[in-house]
Amino acid sequence: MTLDERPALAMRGVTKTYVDGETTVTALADVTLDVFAGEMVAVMGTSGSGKSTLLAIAGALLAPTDGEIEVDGRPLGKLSARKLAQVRRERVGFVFQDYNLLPTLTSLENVALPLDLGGASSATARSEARRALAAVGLRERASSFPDELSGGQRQRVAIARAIVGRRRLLLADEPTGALDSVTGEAVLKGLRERADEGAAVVVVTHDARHAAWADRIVYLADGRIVDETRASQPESLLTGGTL
Amino acid sequence: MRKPREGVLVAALVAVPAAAIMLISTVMASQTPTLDEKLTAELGQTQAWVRVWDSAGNPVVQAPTVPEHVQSAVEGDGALEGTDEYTAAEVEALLPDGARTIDLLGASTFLHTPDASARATLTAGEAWDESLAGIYTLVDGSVPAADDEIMISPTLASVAGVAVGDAVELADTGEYTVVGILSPRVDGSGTVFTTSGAPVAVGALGEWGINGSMTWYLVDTPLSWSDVQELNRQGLVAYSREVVTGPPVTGGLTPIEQETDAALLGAGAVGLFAAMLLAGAAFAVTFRRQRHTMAMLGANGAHGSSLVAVGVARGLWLGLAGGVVGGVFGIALGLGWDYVLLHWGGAEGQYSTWGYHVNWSHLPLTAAYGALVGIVSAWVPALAASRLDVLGVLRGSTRPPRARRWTAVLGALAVIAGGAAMAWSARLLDQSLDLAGGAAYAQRSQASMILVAGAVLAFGGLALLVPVMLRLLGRAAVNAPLAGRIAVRDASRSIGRTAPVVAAIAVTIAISTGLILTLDRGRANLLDYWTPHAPVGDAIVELGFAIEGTADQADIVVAAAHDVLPDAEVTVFDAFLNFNGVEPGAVDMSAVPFLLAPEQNVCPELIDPEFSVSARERAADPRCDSREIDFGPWTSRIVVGDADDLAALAGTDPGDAALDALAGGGVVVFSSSFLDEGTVTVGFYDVDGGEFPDFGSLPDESLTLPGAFQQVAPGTMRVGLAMVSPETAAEIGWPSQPTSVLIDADEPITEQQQAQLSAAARMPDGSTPWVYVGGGPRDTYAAVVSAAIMGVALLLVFSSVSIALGLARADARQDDFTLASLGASPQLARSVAAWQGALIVGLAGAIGAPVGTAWVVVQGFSTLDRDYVLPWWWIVAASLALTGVVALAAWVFTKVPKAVHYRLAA
Repeated sequence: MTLDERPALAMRGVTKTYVDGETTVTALADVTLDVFAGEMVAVMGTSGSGKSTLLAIAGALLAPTDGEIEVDGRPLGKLSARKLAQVRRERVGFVFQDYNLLPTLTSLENVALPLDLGGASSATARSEARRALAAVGLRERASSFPDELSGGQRQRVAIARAIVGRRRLLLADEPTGALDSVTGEAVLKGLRERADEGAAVVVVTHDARHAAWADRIVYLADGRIVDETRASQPESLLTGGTL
Repeated sequence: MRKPREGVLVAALVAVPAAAIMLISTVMASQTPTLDEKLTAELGQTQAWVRVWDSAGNPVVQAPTVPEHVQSAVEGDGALEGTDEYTAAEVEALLPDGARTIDLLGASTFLHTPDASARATLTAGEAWDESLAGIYTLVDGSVPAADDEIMISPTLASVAGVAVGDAVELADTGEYTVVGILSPRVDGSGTVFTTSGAPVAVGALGEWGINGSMTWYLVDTPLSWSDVQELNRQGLVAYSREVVTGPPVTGGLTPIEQETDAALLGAGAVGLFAAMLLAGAAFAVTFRRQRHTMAMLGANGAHGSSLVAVGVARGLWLGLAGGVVGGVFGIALGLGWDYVLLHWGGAEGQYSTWGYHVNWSHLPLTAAYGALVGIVSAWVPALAASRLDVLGVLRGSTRPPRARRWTAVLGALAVIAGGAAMAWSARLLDQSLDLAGGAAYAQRSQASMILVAGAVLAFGGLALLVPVMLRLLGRAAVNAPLAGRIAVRDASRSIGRTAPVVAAIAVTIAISTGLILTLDRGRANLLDYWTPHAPVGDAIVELGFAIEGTADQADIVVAAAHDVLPDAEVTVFDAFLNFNGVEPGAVDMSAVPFLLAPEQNVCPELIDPEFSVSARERAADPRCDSREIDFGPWTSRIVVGDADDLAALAGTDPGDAALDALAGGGVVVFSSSFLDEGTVTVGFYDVDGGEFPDFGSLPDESLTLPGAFQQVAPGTMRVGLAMVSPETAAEIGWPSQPTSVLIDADEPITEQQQAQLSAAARMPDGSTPWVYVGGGPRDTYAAVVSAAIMGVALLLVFSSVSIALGLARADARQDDFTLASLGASPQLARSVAAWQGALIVGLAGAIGAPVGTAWVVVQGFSTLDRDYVLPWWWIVAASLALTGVVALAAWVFTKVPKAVHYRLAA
């Protein structure tokens, strides 16, 4: 494993609070986390522990209430909405639990979306998208629409969309939640491979077996990082168990 | 309700046409008087009125409640022996003994002030009597106490600038003082009220007689139906309070029922159709968003029919709510409409209102209409939703509905059949031009029905093909820009939402295109055949209302024109003396010249009305050109002038032949029918002896002169139908004199300037020439109606598109997030909406405009006047402009997602 000196994702003292009427909910509290290229980090925690909020803030989808975030060394705090969109487009790839593919576009078009949105030529976007689809083993389903694919295939298309181009930060939110165990394992294997190829991967999961694919596991509780382990240490996680 | 916004949308979609229906109902009801209002307007507080229908006393039969609906009862001599027509005393002798009556005379007159002259209606008699309250309303001042005191109506006071206390002249009967303002319910150009003994009233009675101009109001004496029938036997008609409030079961004519307005029914049907389509689209989206719930219900044992029943019940309630709310809203709008008419609309003709009348029986019908729309529009999507793939939906696989092959085949067949029917209709219409009389009419009726069926079939077929078109477009959009690709694919996947909206807009475009093009063709035809009495905005003053001194009259009119309109160009035309205006004995009329058209040049139908030819035969016969027929086979309207006058009358530079004829002692004719191998015939008739031109006979004396035809430019006024030089006029031997003065003003002459011209041109004998200001062909009607149609169509199109886009945006919330997570600009949503708007309107235009145009093209086969060229470029440009404007509006009004809201995983 090779780690860059500069983290692909750096979160420093990140806090996120929501105000709902007179109630203030703290989703994240003073979270500090570095994820390096080539590293796969699993984020675990109970429901409502702040896992998805962490991922949304890391991916510039949500602004923190306090703290600093850097993606590839670029601070997000003072960027305009347009620049933040550019960061998401060029540096961050998302994989969602329910795939979030555009039902109106084919697999190829879905994968090419980030490049299309970035202004790449149609030929370049399609060529890169084909390569990404091939990487997840779906080259032959390029012209299929999402509703013509199985759940596993859809998630692989979502992964292809997340890795297309030169993005180094891959964020996956419960990517196996809607998949059977075999397909889920295949998806995690794919994410692992992306990390091995040099991407920084953050996977939110509540399944310990899936977390075992990671280099590092971060535990969240009530918005705080309460523990952090190297995945190879707790052997029990590789043999099963769910948080 | 779990989805209040969609519920409100559906109810609103139903409410809008429901409101329109009740508004129309209320407006129509308000334009129809109640029995009490009708009685008050007709009778005031009196019991009946009586008028002479047949002045010779021949018996008639009237409708009991509609005395204007009358037929002659028996052919034969009149009831009055030894008299030509009734006198007032004879009529009064026929009324019930001892009845107190108020007699009103109706005539016309001129009111003059030092600054203005205005034509007005004259009502002589005690119109201000308290028993006529309701017919006339005292507005200001007092009632006349002497024959030289008058009242005038508010309209006349405004037009002539007269107030209570002012002195005015009426016709040439002397000076009167305005002592009050009395308002009739309907007051066209203004009314003067005098006593029955006023000089102007006495003069008018002599001029107009009593036939149809006198009304006797029976103040206290009721008239029974038998009384009315007795009066009918004497040639009189009556409107009786007793008869109207209790019409007889038998006897009299049956009043003609007012026909239901087919256009209104058509508009209602289209509204119903469009509302169903749009509400159907809303329901389709609603059901799709509820598919998970429905799948859950299905998985738990709910039967498809139960799901349909739930959907239809929802449609029923929403439709019912929309119908009731819309109906009530329409009634409220009707109140506003009435208020506007009562306060600013005047009280004339079609714009009159009798008060705020609501036809409450229409409200439940409107509610039923809403319920019907709700049920039908919910039923189809509910049926589709009930057939969903439960397992697929629960697994997250929501395949879009496929364009069914049978639908596409059916659509294609319908388009072919509809097109064939329209072509067949065109052929039948064309063939009808070879038929004459009733056979032609019957064939045209049959062709019209086939045309309607063909258009509906073709349109329905195209609507069925919309899913296929969308799918093809979706496939073809591979290389389109991202926003366009998303828009097209979304439309092709969301047929339940898109296709009804496309169909609704297409039917709107088809109908509006058809109507506007039909109006445009009518306007073009009107302009082709328009022969103005005076150019638009200019004035023509006809002289010759007295035999003597028209030259002096022309001078007075010319001076008046220069006085009122200093910059106007004034032209005086001379023509042969009009024998109609000659007082008996003033001129020797034993040899009055008429220009005669040779019989072989006259349309046979003019000579023999029974003669019937087909339209094609008539068109092939230049003698039957309607422009020629309008001139008639003879004329005494011969202008006398020089080459400049000829140019003015021709509206163009005259041809050499005409100039040669004018200079060479010949006649220039503006209708070729008067020309016979280069000559024209002038016949001389003994008018004093009752001799006039007739077919089949030539007068004893006639003159053949060289002739030449001069084409008159379209739209040029016709002062005369032929022209000769002064020398030729002398040779013919009939006096000529100034007959018309044309006042060509820089700016269109206003109503006030018209009144000033009339006042300034008063003759020494007190008479007033009639100043006619050209209003042009009534193509303003086409322009106004076209603009109104376009406005309504645009409103419908924009409403429909906004509904479609609103539904599409509601569908796209998840996609918005996905795109945002991928770094899309928030503006992408706007671009997608613009593409969606353009796609929907473009597709609807591509369907609707050809159908509407084809309708007009086929209708064109019903006439041989096929010069009208369809404004193809206008149609294409309007379609593109509409598409562009909708796209722009969609871009502008689409909300940009303000922030990315990450949907947190459960």
